[in-house]
Amino acid sequence: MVAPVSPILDAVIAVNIIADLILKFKDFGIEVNLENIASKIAEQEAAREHNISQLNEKMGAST
Amino acid sequence: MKRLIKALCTISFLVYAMGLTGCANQTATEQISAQTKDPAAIAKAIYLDSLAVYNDALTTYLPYVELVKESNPAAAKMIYDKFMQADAVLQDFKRWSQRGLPGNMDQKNFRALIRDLSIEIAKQIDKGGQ
Repeated sequence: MVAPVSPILDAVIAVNIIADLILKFKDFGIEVNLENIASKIAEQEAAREHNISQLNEKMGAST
Repeated sequence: MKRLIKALCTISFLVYAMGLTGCANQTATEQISAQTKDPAAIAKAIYLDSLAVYNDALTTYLPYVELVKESNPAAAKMIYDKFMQADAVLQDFKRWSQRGLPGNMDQKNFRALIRDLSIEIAKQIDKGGQ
């Protein structure tokens, strides 16, 4: 008989596994090569700036 | 708990979507390493992977910022500070990538930082949804 496990613990374990999956299976949709890597970095840098701006906006005065 | 399930669904969908697209689930570092041994190119690939992971974590968190902020302002501030800490590491990675020094970029620790941050976010979303 399997001992009952806390739903929260279950959820934390699930999140742990999914976080690992994300980090393991991250890819870029298209081939990254020596020719396009600079443009891929530029795209991600633009996304980072946008995301940080959104985060700062949502955090408001508390930051 | 319902909100955590929602978050899990969102994250699961991301994993699913990422699995459907792209080239055999290879990271940029793996792809570039297969093409060249040039440390400058590999350093750029590590930086790209780190940027992408950071953006994924931040994009996943953004819809829940207000929820966490309302339920636990201290936790929201802590998550914000950790994102800024990760961002500072990213800026170091950028400098090292520009100098072509992949050995100075601790990708494993950076991923562990983002992973722990993602777990903390999920816990806070769970608490906020109860």
